[in-house]
Amino acid sequence: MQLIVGGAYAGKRKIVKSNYKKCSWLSAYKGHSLKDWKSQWEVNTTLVLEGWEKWIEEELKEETDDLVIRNRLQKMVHQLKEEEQKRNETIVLIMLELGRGIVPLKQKERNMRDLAGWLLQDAVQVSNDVQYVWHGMSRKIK
Amino acid sequence: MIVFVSGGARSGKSSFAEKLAIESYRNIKEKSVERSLYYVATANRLDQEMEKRINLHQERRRGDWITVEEPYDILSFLLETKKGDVVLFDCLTIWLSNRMFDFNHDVDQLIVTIQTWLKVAVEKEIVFIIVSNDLNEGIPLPFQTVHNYIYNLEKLHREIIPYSDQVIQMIAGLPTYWKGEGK
Repeated sequence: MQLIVGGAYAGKRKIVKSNYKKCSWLSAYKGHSLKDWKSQWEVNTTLVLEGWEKWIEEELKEETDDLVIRNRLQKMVHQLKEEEQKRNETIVLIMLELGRGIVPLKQKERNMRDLAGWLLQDAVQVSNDVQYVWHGMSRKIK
Repeated sequence: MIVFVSGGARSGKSSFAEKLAIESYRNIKEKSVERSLYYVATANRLDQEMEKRINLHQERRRGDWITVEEPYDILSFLLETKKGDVVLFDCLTIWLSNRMFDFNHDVDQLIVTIQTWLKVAVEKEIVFIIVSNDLNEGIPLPFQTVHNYIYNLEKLHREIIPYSDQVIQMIAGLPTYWKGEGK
């Protein structure tokens, strides 16, 4: 499993596209739902999942306890890892670095920011390769 | 030579860039050639807060520096420089907002402008140090204008970096080299 992390518009997607030829994209920006990952993942392709902050927002609409959401997402990442090993394919997680600004005023946004940070840490645990993307360049940080 | 320095707020970008500029100016000066050390300031003196920030930066720079206040037209200034001059441009973020919000320029126009700067800098053999900010690593704000601004800024960064001999990310006053010396 590979994790690509970086700020908005830093060039994360471009790096994935140049590294993997055949990909199945599950993108929250295109309205895809996280629960559909298995059915969207075509055989002999790399599964790329992006827009986690949107999926976190979705979760926050129905659940107020952020620890419950954290656990749910952590489990999700582990499921992905299992399926990846089962299929002997690669999964790429694209995640936004969004923890470096000021503390947001709204509770929901603070929750989202916390969850995104935790999710990143949890994703790093199961990823064998982690790339930090900064203004179009990338550096291996794990 | 082109140098790109970026980082978060108060990460020491300007101090580091100034140090770099002075070092390369002094190195060149040893060769006893008539060269100049320029500081190109992009901020408009809008209010007291800005005035204070400007004074703070100015106090740090004494002696050899020639300050040029230019919020918009960097190209005309660059065309007047001489071979070997050292130019510290501080900073890209303010220049971008000046051009986007005062002139409504779109990103394609701005990219062409920046490409011209870079070409002029290379042809004239000046040391051109560009300071910018990492604004894309905070929580995405729900305003389209902000999205457009950050998108444009990232495009400019990604345009400048391939031309740069040194690319430095500042974290807590410390430089991390992505390109060039010490990498």
